[in-house]
Amino acid sequence: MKKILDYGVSYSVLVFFALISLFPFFWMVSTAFKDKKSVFIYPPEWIPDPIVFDNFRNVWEKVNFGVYLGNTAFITVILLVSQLLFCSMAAYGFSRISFPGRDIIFVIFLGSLMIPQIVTMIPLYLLVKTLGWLDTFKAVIVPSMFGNAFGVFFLRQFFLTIPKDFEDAARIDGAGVIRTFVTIILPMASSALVTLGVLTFVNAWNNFQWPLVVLNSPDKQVISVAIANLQGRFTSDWTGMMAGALITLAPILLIFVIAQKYFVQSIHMSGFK
Amino acid sequence: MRQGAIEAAVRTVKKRKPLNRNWLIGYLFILPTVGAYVIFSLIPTVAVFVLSLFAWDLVGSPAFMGIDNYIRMFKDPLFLKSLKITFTYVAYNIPIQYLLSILLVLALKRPLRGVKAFRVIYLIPWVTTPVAIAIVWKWVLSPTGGVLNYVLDWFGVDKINWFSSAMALKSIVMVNVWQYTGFSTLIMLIGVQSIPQIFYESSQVDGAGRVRQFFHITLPLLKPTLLFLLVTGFIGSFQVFDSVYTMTDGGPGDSTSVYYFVIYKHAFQFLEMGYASAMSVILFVILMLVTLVQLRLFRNTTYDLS
Repeated sequence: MKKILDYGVSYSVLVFFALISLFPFFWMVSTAFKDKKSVFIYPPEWIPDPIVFDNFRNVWEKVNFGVYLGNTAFITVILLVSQLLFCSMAAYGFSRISFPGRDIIFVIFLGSLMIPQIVTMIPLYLLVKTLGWLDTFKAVIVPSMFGNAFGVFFLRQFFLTIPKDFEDAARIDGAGVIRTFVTIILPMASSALVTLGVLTFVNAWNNFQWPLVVLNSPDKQVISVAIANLQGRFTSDWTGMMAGALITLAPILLIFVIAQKYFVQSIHMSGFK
Repeated sequence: MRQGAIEAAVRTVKKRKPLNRNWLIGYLFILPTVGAYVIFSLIPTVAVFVLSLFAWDLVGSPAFMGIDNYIRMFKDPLFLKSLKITFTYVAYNIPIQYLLSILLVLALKRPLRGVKAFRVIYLIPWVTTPVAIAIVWKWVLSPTGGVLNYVLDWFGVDKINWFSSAMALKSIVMVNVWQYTGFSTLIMLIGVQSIPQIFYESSQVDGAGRVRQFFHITLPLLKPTLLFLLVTGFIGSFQVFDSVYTMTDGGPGDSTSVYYFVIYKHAFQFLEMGYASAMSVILFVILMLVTLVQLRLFRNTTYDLS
């Protein structure tokens, strides 16, 4: 009896918080398909009646959401591929190749985890401005395309668990360091790469503050900035804004559904030091 | 003899050659990432200290000010207010988030059917674009037609003006707690699951109840995890920006003008690069101090398991 009560309480807590976690998404979808007139009906309609698609057409045609979606996808894909490449190269260098000063460099490099983004923002802005990169995708891509300490640390931890025998065997067969890296190490690390990849994707897609500062012209904007600007253009047109929010979140939610295992995995890796 | 020496030298050179080549490859492998780190992270960190001693509006040339920016800061009511607002934000955000996480962990670690599905559900808010989700919340909380007030009405709660100057900061806390509690819950869950079961079993033999087990086994052994969460949580909370920018734009009045938001305004709206840099330096120092204090506090009480 006590056990049943116990489980009942646990389940209730879990279900309650699950509802809270999901409710805003439900409400976003519901509003996005509503007729402009039925938004402020009281009591609110949970399921829109009639279901309309005008809001998406509005956002797509009047505000050019297609362009922003394209810009964001372009930046995200480049960042995803390049960060994975450079992070895994550095992680391999720091874990499997010995050279003088390696461990000291690694420790100093890890120290960058302590530098808050806000500290580098202004000098970085001035640097990007001096290089003439303001209002170009370069300003968003180049400073972060070479990877970061978190990614390197994460992959290095993984590379350290691969037995050295594999590399020795490859070397006896005459493979050099680069070939060993490409044909032995990278394929073995594919699950770690996917895990880091989904995180990289989400961060690149969600990035807001830096693109807000360095990209100005309307046709260069990324989708996070576009959705924030929607507020000014669609004053209290919540159906349009929810349609915009849904377009922004759809790719992220899709990837989450497909790769949820890897997101959970990424937390396992980031929690352990 | 001479011949022998030369041969030996040639041999050592030959021997060393592949080694040196490996060094070179090693440096080449880390060069892009470490080089970019120096250019885009290390040098800017040093530069922000230098910039903080100048006044620069990006149009004219920078003028040396000494420590005037810092003196101005402590006479600037908005600076002091934004520090206070940010500390208040952190003081709400961190405890609420972690208490909820502990509650959820206690439920999640039971061998319940379908418990894994809940873990996945709690993570969804964590991955979503903060700006987009802030707009969704703004609609949920809206004074006209907001659905949350409607739901609260079922329970007899009066209409709440979520964006009044008394409530706006709390609303931002609420949205951030909603977004990040799943993440801290999972981190804690992993920490709890890594505690060997034997501790609980032997304490049960000694007659310890659930509550005592929680305070004497779970919490102490969770310390490294809690430390990780505290350090990253503080650094993250001090830099709250996206939700403020979208939901309240720092208002009403200055009531949600958090520190990062004020830096952003000085730098990119008033074009006071030097003053904004000085504010960044102060934040950097605060975060360093907070992190050091946390490390110190936890080091003294960490239990050695092995």
